[in-house]
Amino acid sequence: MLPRAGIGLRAVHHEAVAETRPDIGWFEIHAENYLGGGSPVQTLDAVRRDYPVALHGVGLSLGSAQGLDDGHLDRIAALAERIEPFLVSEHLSWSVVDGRYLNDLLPLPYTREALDIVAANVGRLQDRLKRRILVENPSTYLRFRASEMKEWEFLRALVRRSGCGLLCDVNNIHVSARNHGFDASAYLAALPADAVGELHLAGHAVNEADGIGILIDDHGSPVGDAVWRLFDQAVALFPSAPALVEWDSNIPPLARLVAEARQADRRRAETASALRSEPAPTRARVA
Amino acid sequence: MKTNAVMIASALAAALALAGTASAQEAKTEKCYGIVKAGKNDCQTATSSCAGTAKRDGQKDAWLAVPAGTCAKIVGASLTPGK
Amino acid sequence: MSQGTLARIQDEFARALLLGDEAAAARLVEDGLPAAARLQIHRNHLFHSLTQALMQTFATVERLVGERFFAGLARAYVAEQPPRSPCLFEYGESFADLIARHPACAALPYLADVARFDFAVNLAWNAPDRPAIGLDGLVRLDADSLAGARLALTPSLTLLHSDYPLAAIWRANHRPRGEEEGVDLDAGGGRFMIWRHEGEAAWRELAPADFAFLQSLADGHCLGEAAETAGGRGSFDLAAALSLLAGQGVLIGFRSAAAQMSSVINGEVS
Repeated sequence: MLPRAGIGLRAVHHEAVAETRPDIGWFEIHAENYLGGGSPVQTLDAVRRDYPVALHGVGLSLGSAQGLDDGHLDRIAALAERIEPFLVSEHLSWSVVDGRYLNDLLPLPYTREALDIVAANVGRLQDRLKRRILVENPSTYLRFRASEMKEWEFLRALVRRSGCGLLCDVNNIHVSARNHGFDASAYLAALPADAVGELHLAGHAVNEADGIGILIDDHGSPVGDAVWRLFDQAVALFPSAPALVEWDSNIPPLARLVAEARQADRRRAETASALRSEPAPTRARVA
Repeated sequence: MKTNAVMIASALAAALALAGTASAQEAKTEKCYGIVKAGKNDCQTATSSCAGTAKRDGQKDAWLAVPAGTCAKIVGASLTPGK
Repeated sequence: MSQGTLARIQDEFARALLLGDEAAAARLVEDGLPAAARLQIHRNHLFHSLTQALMQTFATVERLVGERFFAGLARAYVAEQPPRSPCLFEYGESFADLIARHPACAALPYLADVARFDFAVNLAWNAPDRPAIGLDGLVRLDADSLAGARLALTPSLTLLHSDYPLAAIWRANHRPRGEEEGVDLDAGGGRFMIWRHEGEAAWRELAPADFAFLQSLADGHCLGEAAETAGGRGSFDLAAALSLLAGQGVLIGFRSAAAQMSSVINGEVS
């Protein structure tokens, strides 16, 4: 059985989900949207009765030099206990300094010092939740002079050090590869295949500044052709990782998201049958 | 305090007797009926599509000119202090 | 690499994003697009996304002053008081205070209270769920324990006393855009309780004595003290006030679990 694609649950779709109960594999939620009570939490409980749910953190700030916030960690742990997610993930980024939350997935310098910090924070989160978590590769718009390794080297080391898994966001790889001029396929092939537990798919925007194009990860358009092609490579390399379709701006009706999830399922099936009819493909060939 | 305590206990008894007959009270409650729902805040993992690289804080005080919403429809003497 | 470089970078980054400080740019690789322009992407995102969040929470304020003026207020607020929590529905607790002292809002004296009302409605919608207890939970106490009981009220509750007709302003500005109605401020103010009732954000206007009673309970005073305070504020019907508390789902238990009450708490809450 090939893993089916899921959809990121957003508040604007709460009613449509309750009314139509779409035939998709699973839903992913942003944990921070369900840490209160009332209607959002009721909706989540109802969704959880019918679907597997993955918990995707937005604000734990795994890259904070000051460590994780105890209060927030407790709230995330309580939510995880309540909904028993089949996957838990967060980002390779930071957003909190001195208790101020900057509401962005900010980039890290890829240094040994940062690796120590992220590995310690991931370890603490995993100990608290008593489970392995997945760490997602970010979209980045800048690089630090201090970086001592490539992003994929940092992720490989993080997996080794903390025992975490990876959430491979295919669109983020494409965005960062274009913004910084590296080879997206080589990035994919460099990830430790047995650590990848989930894939993300989304659209991005192109921003022109002084004649230089920069890609912005806005989750506001359909998945682009180049990202679909990268997805085909990703499902060949990480066949058991379920995929997720995410929209966060210009969010279309739920049916469009369902259609995009189906498209992911079709492409995965085509890739799988092409691989079956070929003689044992090597990772190098696929990449 | 003793009198007070007895008074409270008897008010509680009266309140229990009132239970279920509070329909007049209920009518005074006004609900938002989904109006708030449409405006719910989602924490996101995406970058705003209009973020871009352009500097946007050049004219940061231009907005101070005049509010341009429905406050023009709010009237009353309390808006003109000294009158 | 020396200890603490990441902490320094993050501190510089926060200053770059919130204040436009340029020290962080020196840390970045210069490659095509200038480092300052790259930082600007994050700076624009921070202000834009939090302005959008505030705009949703303070929808009535936004209608009243228009999008551009609101964005200016939001920008000032974000720079001065960035969120303390990653849950955006919790952001903006002190936005009304900024409005109250901002010179640009001097001619709109009611605006800060409208913001307080908006935040209260937002809290009513999002506050944690706590099961309500009925009056049965109180009946089990003897008269003295009852008078000394400190009642816990739902976390979704806000009590708001304003010189302005907040409910009328809210109502007039939650009609379809372009169809907002006028409001006469001279209609007078009111005392409001705003909370979640049967799953919906709700409010009602309270008589001065009822408001004083709830305020006293919310401040942590015991039932006897709250009744006395309310009695000093004109005609007060304690029986009606108690039935309001329980009937509207506002009462959730007791503040302190005194030994003699623990059985009540265990029996009625959770």
